[in-house]
Amino acid sequence: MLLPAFTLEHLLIVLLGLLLLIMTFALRRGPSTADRVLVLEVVSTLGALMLLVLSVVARRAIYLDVAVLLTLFSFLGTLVMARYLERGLLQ
Amino acid sequence: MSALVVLIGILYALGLFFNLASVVGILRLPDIYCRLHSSSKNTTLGSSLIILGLAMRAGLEGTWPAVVKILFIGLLLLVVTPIGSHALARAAYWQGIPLWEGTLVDQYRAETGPARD
Amino acid sequence: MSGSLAEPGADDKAQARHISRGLPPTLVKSPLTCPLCGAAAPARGLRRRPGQPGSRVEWHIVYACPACGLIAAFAVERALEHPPGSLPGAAWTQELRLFQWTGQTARLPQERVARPKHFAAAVLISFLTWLILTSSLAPLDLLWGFAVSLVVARFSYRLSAFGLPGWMRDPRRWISFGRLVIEFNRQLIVQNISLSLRVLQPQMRIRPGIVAVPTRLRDDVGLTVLGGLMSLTPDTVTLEIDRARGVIYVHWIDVQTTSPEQARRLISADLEQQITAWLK
Repeated sequence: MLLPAFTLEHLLIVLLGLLLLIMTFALRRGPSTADRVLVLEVVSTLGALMLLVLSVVARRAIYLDVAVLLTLFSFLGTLVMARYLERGLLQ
Repeated sequence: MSALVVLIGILYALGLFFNLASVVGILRLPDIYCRLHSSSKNTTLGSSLIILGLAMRAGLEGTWPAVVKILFIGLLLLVVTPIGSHALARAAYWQGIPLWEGTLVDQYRAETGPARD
Repeated sequence: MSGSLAEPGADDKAQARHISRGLPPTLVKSPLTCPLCGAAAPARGLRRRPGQPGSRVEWHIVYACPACGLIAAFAVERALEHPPGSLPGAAWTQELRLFQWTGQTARLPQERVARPKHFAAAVLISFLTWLILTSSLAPLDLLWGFAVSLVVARFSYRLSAFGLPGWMRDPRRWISFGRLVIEFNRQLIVQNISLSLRVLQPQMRIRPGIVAVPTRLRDDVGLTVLGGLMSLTPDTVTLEIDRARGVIYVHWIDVQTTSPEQARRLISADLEQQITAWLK
């Protein structure tokens, strides 16, 4: 093939970044806190995906660890926020 | 080799399509309960497909530890997303976020009575 | 444990005995259900809250979980009004504190005690996780991993103090587990395509609603798995699981029926059948 290596991956990073950018607007819009938590979850998933692609492109295994931590902590954060919302401690 | 690259490209494209659908859904759907559908399901399948493609790409590169770890992250996402969305749905309901006015039925409210507390 | 805490004096012991005689037997004898691991946590004793002479409530009744070591304490006066057994689990995990023993009212039951094999299983799981996360087979890394696994397992093996699930011993159940996975994947793909098309159409055709779906499952594992999978499969997101009645309330984005039986057939029957074949 004439294309340089990882052309698809670079494209993927750009498109995922575009989606992420759109989601940050949704983050500002979301009428309630719960909406924002939901958007934040999607943002962190997209971020983890970008990190995965980046690690394959740059051949850096360390980015994978960052992705694992991002996934785990966004999950924990979602649960904690849900807990707070359910108790009525946040509006 | 080349066929595999095409397959990887298809996986990326499908994954991106579903992620795009989830973003559009979150922007368009009327209330948080509907948005949860988009954010939990489309994101899960979209990321799973992209992760599958990435794992194959890393396999082509020959970095097997990375393959294992990428698949591990995929499994993690698959387990974590429904739990998070369920917790959020419950929290939103008990916080009293109203359902969309076009909602047809609410058998939960009907059977458990008005909100607790 | 009691490095900084004062040794209980003789007065304290006498007072604790006096108070424990005044408690109703239902409070002392009936164990709580541990919110972490589900084991029966009996009342272990009374303690005086140290260093708060001005407060009105001084004596606490202490419950300890034999399986995971969770400790909860309730003020005696409040426990008399609202028995801790009637509180939800979350309410009493907030009461976690260090405590000092002043009197013993119950013995440890012998069931669900963590054994060496549980320790070995915890070491194995931690070590496998280490292998995945470090992805290195260098001898020094393996040695470190093993050492760290030992330490982690030392502190966490009580959480895994349960036997192998029954289905893992039967090869035929493995097959039905595989069938469940296949069915789940099929539904996930079908569902995603339908949802994407629904969302991307110029006019969204959605008829949302919250519907009760009855199931025949009653055990915790089955209901948890079904609830989790239903969030990902047909047009539904799980909102609440009623454990006692086996009813799952779902938010359905395209309500087609409000009759519970029909909803069950449309939404959960396939998955439920696979789960029953897997667990039973």
